[in-house]
Amino acid sequence: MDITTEYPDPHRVVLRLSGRLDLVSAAQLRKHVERAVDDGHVRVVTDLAGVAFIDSTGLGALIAALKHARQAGGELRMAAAGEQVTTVLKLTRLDRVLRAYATVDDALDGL
Amino acid sequence: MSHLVASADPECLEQLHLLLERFWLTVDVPGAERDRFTLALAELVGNLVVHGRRVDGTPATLELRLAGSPTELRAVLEDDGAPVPDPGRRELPDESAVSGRGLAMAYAVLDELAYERRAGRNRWRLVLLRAADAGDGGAA
Repeated sequence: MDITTEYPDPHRVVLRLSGRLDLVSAAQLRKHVERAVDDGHVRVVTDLAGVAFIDSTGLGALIAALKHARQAGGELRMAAAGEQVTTVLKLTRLDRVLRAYATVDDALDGL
Repeated sequence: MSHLVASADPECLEQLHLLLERFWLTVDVPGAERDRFTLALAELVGNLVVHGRRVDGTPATLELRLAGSPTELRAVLEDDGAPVPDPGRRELPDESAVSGRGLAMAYAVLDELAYERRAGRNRWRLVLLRAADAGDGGAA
């Protein structure tokens, strides 16, 4: 998985993910989010447009990232989730926990 | 028939996805059914990567066979690791849990998922029944 990081302002961060978010790459996402949050970028948007596949470990990494951001007084939102990701979120009922937005701009709006 | 033999280490997940990419060239399956079958296999193989150890602690060897027809997709996944402790677990954990969803997800997306321990091996049998109106008129 490739992860690129953008900082729209000092408190927000956009992580653009590309590849499979799974057992192999989940720890990489957790590290990226922890580093950004610990550096003060506590409002996090994960851009999932480039993620064609997520598994249970990838979901776990998103939950862990959400908790980490909230513990620091921030929030985590997801943007541009594709069909497979959306289906898996519904299947696990995590669509009630992980807030999904159509685009990165929508996710950043009011964050 | 598509076939994979691999050591249960993280690289075998890449091998699984490559095997499935080739498999989809041999059977005409719509995206939603591909996603369900792929997810179930990735969860079961992923469990093996994390937990699949022989008694002496070395990674188990897994063997996967795939078969497809206009009416169903089937897989058999075997390994020579220790017995699976709770193969019937179908309940999703609490929403805030960061692990423990994999097997429940596999059960949820498949029409049949059966486990047996036989002759020192774990054996999972997976079946996904295909929608009758799926494909381009292939399911007669």
